[in-house]
Amino acid sequence: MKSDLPALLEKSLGVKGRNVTLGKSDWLKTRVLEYSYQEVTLRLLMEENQLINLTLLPQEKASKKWSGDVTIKPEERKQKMLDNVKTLSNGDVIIENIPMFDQGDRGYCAMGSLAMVMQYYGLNLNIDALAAKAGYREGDVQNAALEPVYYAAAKEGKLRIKSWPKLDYRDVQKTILKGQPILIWRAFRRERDDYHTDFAMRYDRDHSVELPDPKQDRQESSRWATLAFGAHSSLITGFNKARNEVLFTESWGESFRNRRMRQEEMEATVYGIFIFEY
Amino acid sequence: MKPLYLILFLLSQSSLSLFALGENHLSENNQASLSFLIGAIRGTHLLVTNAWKETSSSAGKTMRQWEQPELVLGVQPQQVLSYWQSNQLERIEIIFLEAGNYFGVRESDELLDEVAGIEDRGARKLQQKKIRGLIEKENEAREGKRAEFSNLFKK
Repeated sequence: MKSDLPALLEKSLGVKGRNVTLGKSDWLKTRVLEYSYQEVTLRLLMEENQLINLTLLPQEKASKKWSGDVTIKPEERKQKMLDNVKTLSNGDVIIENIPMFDQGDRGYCAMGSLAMVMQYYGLNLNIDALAAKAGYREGDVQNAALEPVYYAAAKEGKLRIKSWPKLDYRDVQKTILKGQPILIWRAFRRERDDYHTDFAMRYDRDHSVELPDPKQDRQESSRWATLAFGAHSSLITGFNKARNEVLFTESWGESFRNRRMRQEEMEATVYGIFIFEY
Repeated sequence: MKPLYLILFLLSQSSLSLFALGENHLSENNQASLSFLIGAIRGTHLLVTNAWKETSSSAGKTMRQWEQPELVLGVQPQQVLSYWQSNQLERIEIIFLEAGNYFGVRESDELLDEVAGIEDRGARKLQQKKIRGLIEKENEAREGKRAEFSNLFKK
């Protein structure tokens, strides 16, 4: 494909592709072959042994910056973030307008969460391109450089990144109220995840159901994930103070938006936090 | 203009726009999908049909996936995604080849997640042994797939 596609495109469109560099940062600078055909820009991205992708977009939107060409004043951007915070009748405080991705059954959660946050901040980065840049090989996360790509994405979006290892529920509330989703790395246990999915469905039917309080149920914390089971990346996208819950979202499609977890469990299982801010 | 003539007129206009796109190089049969997708970006063709499944939608931002994508430039894409903002088509991504999609998930990864949950030491060791064997088999299978992928990529 690497040798066939450029020739096929050139023949089909009747125009030559030109080398164009997208982005600025070392990790996300990307060379593409760009074709202009009538009012459409076609960009062929070929990342060695990882990805071949063709993007079609209107010429007027074909920016060379991942963040696009539209510049918004910092105060306006902050206000836009605040406008996304909504308090629902059940007491949930959530951030709206976070685009959803579906990573499929690939182990791309660290890039899926990042893609969702970046798209929320207006950067046109998708999971596949991010995974290629981070150095995923054959779909495996081993050897992938996750943090450098997080920092590079922040740089592309003129965002500051704050990172620390321990989650505090008060920080969660303050950050969500600013309209900033929190990217987390957490211990993951499949069985426990199924439990949270099941609880989300039960809660949809009946808002009075409650997650077990670990102070009342001594066995509860033994069911939580530890890193011995596995690791995973998600976004914190809301909270419910009265219910002591954190709302979290996965890059697994719409049905995995704003599931619920007790704050104690979230605090005990998170081992990495990344907040992006203007 | 009578309704029937109006319909015929509109149909002829739509075929004209297809032809107009076609006469500028995109006329070969196996280029039809690319021509159609370019037309969708230009706003000359409608993309929303039953063939596109909505995968996500939030506050005016929608993503749709072409369920059974046709050949594009004679190549079968793994995935074709369209991105919309307030019902305006913003971008189409054609993923011809992506390593994660190609190699798929390792069954051993799924099983490894569960080992820590096995309380009995003997049973846990047995499971670990089983997983080691599975990893070896997966590695062997990947050797062949790796060569296939590399050829497909380079061709």
